[in-house]
Amino acid sequence: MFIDRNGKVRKPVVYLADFEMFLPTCQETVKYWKKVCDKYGFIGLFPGEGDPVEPGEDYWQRVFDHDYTHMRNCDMCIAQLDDWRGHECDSGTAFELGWFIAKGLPSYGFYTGKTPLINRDIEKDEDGYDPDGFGVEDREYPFENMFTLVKIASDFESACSLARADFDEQLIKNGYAPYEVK
Amino acid sequence: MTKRKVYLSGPDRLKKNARDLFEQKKKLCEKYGFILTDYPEDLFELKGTLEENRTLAEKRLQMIEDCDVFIADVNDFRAYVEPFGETALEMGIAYGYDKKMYAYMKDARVCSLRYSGKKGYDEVSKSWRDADGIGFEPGPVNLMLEYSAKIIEGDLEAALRAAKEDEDVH
Repeated sequence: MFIDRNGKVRKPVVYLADFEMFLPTCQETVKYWKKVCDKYGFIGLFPGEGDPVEPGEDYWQRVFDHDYTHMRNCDMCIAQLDDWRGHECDSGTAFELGWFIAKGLPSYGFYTGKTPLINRDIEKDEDGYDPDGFGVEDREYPFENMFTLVKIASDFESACSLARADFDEQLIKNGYAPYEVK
Repeated sequence: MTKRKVYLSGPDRLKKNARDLFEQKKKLCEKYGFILTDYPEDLFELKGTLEENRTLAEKRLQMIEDCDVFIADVNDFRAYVEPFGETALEMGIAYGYDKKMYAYMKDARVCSLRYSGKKGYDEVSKSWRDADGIGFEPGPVNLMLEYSAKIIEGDLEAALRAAKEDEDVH
């Protein structure tokens, strides 16, 4: 439960920004995430739900439009920010998270272990520069600067718990009882 | 005509000579009739407290909101066929603010062709997959990036040229 922009108390719809669609474990993981969302009083929406199936020259444009429509229909975002094919998160996931930030909607991410960036397994010299000459930030956060606009948790359920605490604070402030986690 | 303000997104701010690079980029923007947004001095610092870190991010968020044109460096960064994560995040922010967006990369071939790790062709799905059996995005970058920005093969100057041409048309 949360209070939406129209002042209505309802379950928030969570955009599950992730790279699971590329993995064989996708269905299993999404099923688990949705169950956890339900536990915390959220409705989880997986971007791939209802993806276009008809082939055609404009197929990928239609997939983009489809995912973007899902984003616009959500109240908040929880993003999977684990490393993807190297030391960076999935760029599509980061993009989606950024859109929620711009819209002023609650934005959360999870990174397994929540290790500060400087302590991550990135090859660097004694001055903190990687082999391509890019410095590794040492700013008390698991990601580079702009990600501090996002609340980072160590796993999906912890991210839901963070969001729940924020929404409960909002509910209590407005005279409602906090949501009872199942 | 008022000069349009450009926000540049990319990992160059992490380089040792970042200040010099930004001075060069400032001149390049001017050459094409744009103004590069003024950057906070601590943008080029690698160390800082979490509080300073957050303050800087808030300033940059405002800078993106205030710009007219957003240009991103989406070259691969510390990963196979993935750009700098912060830049992808900023592209999402810029799209949320309805900015005119450009993204440049040296090599704009599709991800499966650019991927230098082990890969194999899957006859069933008729597509390339990496050693873990994971497929690739259909374009040069992730779908969300590809369809939100004009992808330019080349460097910043090529992107500025494209932005200038679009301005002249309109």
